[in-house]
Amino acid sequence: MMAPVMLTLTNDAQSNLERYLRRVKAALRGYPSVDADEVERDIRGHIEAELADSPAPITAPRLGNVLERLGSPNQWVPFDELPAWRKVLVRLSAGPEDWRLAYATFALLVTGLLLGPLGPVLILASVPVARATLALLDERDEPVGARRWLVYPSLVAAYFVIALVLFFLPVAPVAAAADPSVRAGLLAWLPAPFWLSYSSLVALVAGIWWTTLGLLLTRFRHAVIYVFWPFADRFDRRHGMRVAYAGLTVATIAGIVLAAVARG
Amino acid sequence: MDVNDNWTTQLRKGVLELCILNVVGRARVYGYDIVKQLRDVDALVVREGTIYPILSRLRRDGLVHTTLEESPEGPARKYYEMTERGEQLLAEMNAYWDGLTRGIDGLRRETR
Repeated sequence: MMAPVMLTLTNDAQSNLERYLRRVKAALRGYPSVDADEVERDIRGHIEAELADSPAPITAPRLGNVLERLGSPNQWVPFDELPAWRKVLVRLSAGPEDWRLAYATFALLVTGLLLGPLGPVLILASVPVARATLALLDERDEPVGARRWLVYPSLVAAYFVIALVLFFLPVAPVAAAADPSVRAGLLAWLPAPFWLSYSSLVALVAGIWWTTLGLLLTRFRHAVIYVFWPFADRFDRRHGMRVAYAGLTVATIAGIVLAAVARG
Repeated sequence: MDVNDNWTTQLRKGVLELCILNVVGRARVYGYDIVKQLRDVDALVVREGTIYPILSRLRRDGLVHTTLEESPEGPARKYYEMTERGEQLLAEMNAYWDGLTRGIDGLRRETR
């Protein structure tokens, strides 16, 4: 596999480059005749060769000239070669001012909220439709504008649930001590006062998990940007490290308190 | 004019693949060099990114093959080279192109 772009870019240029490369992959995804990953690597190589002699750091306007010559990725392959599902999506959002997909997203969400047992299925379905809407607008380099009020609610709801699960799921088994049988076991093991030692234990587990999670987030930065797209475009190592430091602080304080309680 | 623009766009799309195959057919070549060589063809004004999906398709179709090589100037470079099947197809395409242009030239002389 070819190495990632090794140029030194300003933050704005880096952000524009990553956005462009995402557009490349999104535009070419699903074409049976084209390997989207291969083309993305070729485009990286092209940009690197074009800017090899430019003084560092490469600025956004300098990079913009190269991207301008490369052109919009959704014009690289003819519409006829699009896979059927993408043709449907493109046709649904055919006009430059078209709102159909955005309305479809909102309709799925609202119907999902109103319907009983089938509701979650429709709410879940609204998420890929919302992302497809944004991806198509992104491909066309068209601003989301007021359509955000129709599209973002589905994404905010889904991402909120994902974030909750990410941050609190590993803590849940410890927090389940509200259950009488678990509580009885813990009471026998934890030093008194129970409320203090128990809350310190929960905080310790949470702190250790957040430290681990923060480090994982710095390692898998692109996964975070992809999962929480388009809200996490500016996510970088610093944000992950902040989560890790917060976790470390919580774990340390909880550990000290727990040790103090144990000593009596 | 719209009709003219559409006609030239369609013509360029068709010819671009032939041009790429001819560049690769001349010598083993680095992907970025293909773009640079095509830049020199004035009438073939294309968005440069268009070339890479075509190269990907040509590779998948077995008309060209690629090799990665370390470069002293930076990261590894991907070189394109024609396969035997690619050579055959290029010869057929060039022969077709020659026949077509000869025919069109003949028509244009008769018109004058």
